[in-house]
Amino acid sequence: MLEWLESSAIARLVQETAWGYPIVLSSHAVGMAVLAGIVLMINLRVMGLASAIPLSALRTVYRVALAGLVVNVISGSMLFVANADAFFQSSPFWIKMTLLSVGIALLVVMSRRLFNASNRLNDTSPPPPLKLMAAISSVAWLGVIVMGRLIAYWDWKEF
Amino acid sequence: MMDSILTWMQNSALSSLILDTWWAFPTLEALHFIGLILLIGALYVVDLRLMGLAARVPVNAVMGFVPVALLGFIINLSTGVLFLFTDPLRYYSNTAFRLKVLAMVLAGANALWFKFAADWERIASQPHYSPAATVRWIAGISMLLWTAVIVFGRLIPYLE
Repeated sequence: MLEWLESSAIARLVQETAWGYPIVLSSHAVGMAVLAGIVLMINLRVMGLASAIPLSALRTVYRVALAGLVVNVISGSMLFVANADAFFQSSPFWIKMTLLSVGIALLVVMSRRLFNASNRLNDTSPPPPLKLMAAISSVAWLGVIVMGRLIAYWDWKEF
Repeated sequence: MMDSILTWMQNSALSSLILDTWWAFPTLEALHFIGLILLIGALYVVDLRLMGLAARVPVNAVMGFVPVALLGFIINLSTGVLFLFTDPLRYYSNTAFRLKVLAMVLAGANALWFKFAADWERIASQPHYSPAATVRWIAGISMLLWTAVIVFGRLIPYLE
């Protein structure tokens, strides 16, 4: 399965063209800034920063963050298939995937409470559970970024 | 002049300290990425509002994210300078690094333009302020330049 991925057309495009890898890597970094950067700002607002911003008014920037998520799922999958075997054996990669699941799950739950017209919270001060979710989400996304960076450093098997 | 500075950096105790400490470089890189999302995440939110999106966000309140951007900038300037100490000659002659610095200088000039061109009175008094064309341009250029800073930074190992 991993070998098949690594020999697929997309994998070969990333592995063999001189600019394939740097372009995909740059897209992944820009998508990261859009997604994690904006989600972190939404979390800071939920935790009390810039509290004059009505929570539901952040829906537009939330949608921009989702565009970053799309860019990074695509670019991340391309980076994975190009080196599937090494990623599969990397501990930081699996920690990153675990934290990513936490981050995405919290993003879905929080966005429903913040932006869904039917069960929307009041617009100024969110309840403590939502603030706690924002704090956990922030730690999870920072962890995703740090673990992503460490994939390049950790010996695949030792960690 | 430049040569002697670069050589001094290369031979400094700080340079050997970072290179000889196995965890120093990955730690600095992780911090540089955290600073990146603080700086650029905050600027994206501010710039999107100044471009006219999310008009329900009071423009004076969104300025509350500017200190977050400054914190990210301080983290990234510090960690970035420490990277330079590890291989100053290579960074100095690296094309992607030079383009990254150029994009940062232009982004700084663009921020100064905003400081002088923005209608601060309306920003302070009108929450549903609709930005003038000049301000929209400045915000769009800011987003483009900071995105270019990320891309050129990421290309340093690939574009000598």
